[in-house]
Amino acid sequence: MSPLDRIANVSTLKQHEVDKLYKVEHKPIVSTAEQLCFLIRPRIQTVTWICDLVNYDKALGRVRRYKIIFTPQKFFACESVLEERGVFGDVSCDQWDFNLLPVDDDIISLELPEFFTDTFLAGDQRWVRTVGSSLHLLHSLFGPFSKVYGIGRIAKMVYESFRMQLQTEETRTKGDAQIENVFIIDREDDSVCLCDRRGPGDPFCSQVVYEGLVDDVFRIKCGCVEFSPDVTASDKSVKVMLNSQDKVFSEIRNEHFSNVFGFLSQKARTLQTSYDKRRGMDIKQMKTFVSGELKGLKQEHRLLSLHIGASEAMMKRKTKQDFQELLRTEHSMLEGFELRECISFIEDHINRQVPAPLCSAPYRRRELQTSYGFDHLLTFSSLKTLGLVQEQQTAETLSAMETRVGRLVNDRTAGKLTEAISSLAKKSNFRALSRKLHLVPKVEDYDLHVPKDMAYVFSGAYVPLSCRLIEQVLDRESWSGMEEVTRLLNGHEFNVTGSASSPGADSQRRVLVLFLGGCTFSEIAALRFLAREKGQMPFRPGTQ
Amino acid sequence: MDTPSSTNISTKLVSTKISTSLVPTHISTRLVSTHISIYTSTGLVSTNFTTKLVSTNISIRLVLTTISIRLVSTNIFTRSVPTNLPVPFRLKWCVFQDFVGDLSPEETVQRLSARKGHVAMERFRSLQDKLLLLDYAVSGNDGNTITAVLIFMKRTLSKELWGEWRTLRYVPETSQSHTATLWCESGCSLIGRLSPQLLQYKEHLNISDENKRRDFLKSCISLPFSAEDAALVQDHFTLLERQIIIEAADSQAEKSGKSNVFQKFPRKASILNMPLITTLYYCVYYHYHESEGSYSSPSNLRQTFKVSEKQFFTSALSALSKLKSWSEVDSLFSSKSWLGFSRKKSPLSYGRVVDILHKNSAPSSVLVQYVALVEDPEQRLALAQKHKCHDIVINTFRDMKDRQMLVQYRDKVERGSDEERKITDLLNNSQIRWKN
Repeated sequence: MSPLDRIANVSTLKQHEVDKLYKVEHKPIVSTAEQLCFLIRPRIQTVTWICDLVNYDKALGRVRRYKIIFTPQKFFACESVLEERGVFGDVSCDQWDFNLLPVDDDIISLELPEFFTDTFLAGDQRWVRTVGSSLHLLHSLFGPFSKVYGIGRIAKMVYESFRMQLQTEETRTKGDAQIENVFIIDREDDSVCLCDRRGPGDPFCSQVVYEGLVDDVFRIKCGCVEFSPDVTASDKSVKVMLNSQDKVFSEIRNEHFSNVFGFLSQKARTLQTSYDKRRGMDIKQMKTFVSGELKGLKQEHRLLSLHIGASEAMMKRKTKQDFQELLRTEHSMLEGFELRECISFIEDHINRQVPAPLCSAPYRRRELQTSYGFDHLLTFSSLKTLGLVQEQQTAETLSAMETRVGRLVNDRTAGKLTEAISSLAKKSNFRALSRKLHLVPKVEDYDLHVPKDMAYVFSGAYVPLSCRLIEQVLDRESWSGMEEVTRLLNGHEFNVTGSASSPGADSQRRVLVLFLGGCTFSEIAALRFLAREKGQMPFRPGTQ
Repeated sequence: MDTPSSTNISTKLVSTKISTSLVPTHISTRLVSTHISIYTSTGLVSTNFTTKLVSTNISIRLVLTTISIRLVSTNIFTRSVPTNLPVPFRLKWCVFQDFVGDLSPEETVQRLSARKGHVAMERFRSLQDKLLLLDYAVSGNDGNTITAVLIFMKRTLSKELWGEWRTLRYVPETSQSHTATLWCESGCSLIGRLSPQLLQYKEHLNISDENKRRDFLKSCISLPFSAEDAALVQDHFTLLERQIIIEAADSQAEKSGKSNVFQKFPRKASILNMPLITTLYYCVYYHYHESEGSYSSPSNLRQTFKVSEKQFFTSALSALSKLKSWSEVDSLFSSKSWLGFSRKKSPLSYGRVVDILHKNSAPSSVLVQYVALVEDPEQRLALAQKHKCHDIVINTFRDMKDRQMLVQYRDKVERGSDEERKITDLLNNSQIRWKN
């Protein structure tokens, strides 16, 4: 599901005299329409296709009017491509500032999937201003921010861009401040906690939170997931919107997977009793029941069966992949022992060409290459530039970080770190950091049903770094006392106390966390937990 | 008569020519027309207007002063954005300035960042100005602006200078992936992150025809890669070359219908561009018995690419299991020792072996052999129970002298079967000293 669907679906567009919708591809458009409108992301590739289309039409002598709408930003490079191809005069270009997409009550997505690769990998900073203007928009909607904390080079840039926009552009603020604290985290120097499949995640930890698992297995796009027929137990696939409107989902999404089945079965039982209520009803009660409750119950029933189906599918898939063993390996790597078993386990996985977990251990780069394809030569260099991979010429092995190559095997698109890559750049750094911030809880029996801290998102093994950072900084209200930590994370931290004219009543409780480069569902779950504990309401835009 | 010509106007930029024709004061009523032409550096802005005089002895002020006041108050001829202008007007000021003709590099960059329309950078003709422009762009942190400036510079500088300027200025942490795509032939690599040779290598992904891709890869080998990378690129080329040969031969064989194996197990996909391990698997699958001389023999592949034993073993095992040729699987393991006995050795743990066999639906007679070889007794027990290798379970329990478990297990076994009888015999065997 694309962001466009969330805003205007096909029927709405048709009401506005849109004839047909096509996907922009490299082939001519067969249509009798006089005007063509392209709504695209500003990619050079797409623009060259459009130029080809226009030139093709010109060659055929067809006269049409073209309009290109770039979203969220119009880039100079795209226009210069148009200019070079001699098409600039035939099209009119426009920009649709589509900055924020509310995915849920407390999550806003910036929908910038290229942010990570462009900014951290290619070093291209073109999205900095876009993110800055999103902040600007939030500022104008919700009032001035009282305090802004941030860490990371890009975070600083984004903040500066935001400040610059405040100065040069008209800002209308709606009065009182509703957001008290803003936290900007970027994923670059934060080499400890880096990407997941589509955005940063936590080092080599598989997700075990329900929402995370759903994402892993079925892929959530724009808050929507498609369940295939074997899940829905019917003969067609179903698209489900996953947010807090879905009552069943909102209760299980942050739960550890082990709790989910219990919860679902309990829910099924309560649902059944609600249905059974109707046995003892007379006509009048029945009427009210049917008009009022029945619909809600039926809805819940449907959702429940969907989620049960999804859970079963996930269980099946995970047991196939020796999920338990995977988790165990991850945990031991986090704690740093039994490394040899871990390595052989990983090697095994490589040889079988299945997703291999991360580790910070020596391995043969050649092996990975031969197993997953040579395109990954580029991936490795990308990893190296990101500081995720280190070469250490010892006798015969190169010590480096592995990639979680889940979809690399299939996609085989090198240089595109859209797959799970994560790593410990500097092994020592991670250990030091984890000690200082107590990222690995030293509790023997971790009770997942009544979790005490955020580590439950990874079965009690690990607290996501970013969440821990947020917790600490908000507690102290500054970066004081955390100098060592910031040094390990390569610095660039800042905090700014803005001039909040009159903090509104709510503002005490609202925190805005901006993840530059995306975040995983596990982190979101951890943050929600933190929010509940501290009585604050977090509110999270992420770039993916 | 005030002539506001020189006092408030910076003569450096603008030359004003004011010609007026005025009526001497003693004449009472006359039309006064004033022609004012103001020349600016980019064009002529002229106004003409007339006024009507009413009375005498009034010192006539040039109506021009009103105009000049208007002009002067906006400080048109000064360079900086006037800070007394309210915020919404500052950019409009820049637009005006641009029209009038002079934005400083800093303002140009601001205007570019604000993305309100096109900004002409042509006036920055000197190299110093260009570099200054770049400096401001970089400090502004907006990638789009940086790209715009770089595109401009590339267009207006010669190739050599374009390559050289990098020594004059270091552009930190910026990549111009746009420009890279557009002008890859530029000798200088602005791509901060990927080295130029890798960037070129990356191009291979865009080539769909396999022969062209192979030739392209060949040309890439000579690029200055690091030693490790160079070896990998070489391998990539060699592999693709092989794959093309194998693919051609095999599709021919398949079509002609002569080869049995392709009839029995039709090919699902082409081997081109697959990773090495997959290629190995394929070769084991279809060409296991070929001699080492042939391109498609797995041993040839193994030697050329120095495949590790573990990798080779895993692939071979999977492929042979898929083919269900259990005797071949067996021969993988056996090795003749110098005494002439053959014993089984495996680079993989037997547990893993059993897994692979099981996934390929090996019959239990085959599985039993390998489960028996698992070293760790607990693992062996678990596997045996999972795959219903009753004998092994029974024997393990007997070795562990665990009577209870044996009794429990008897219930799981089929009634009246051999296994049940065996268990009963064991339980009745008074010679065994059970521990429970």
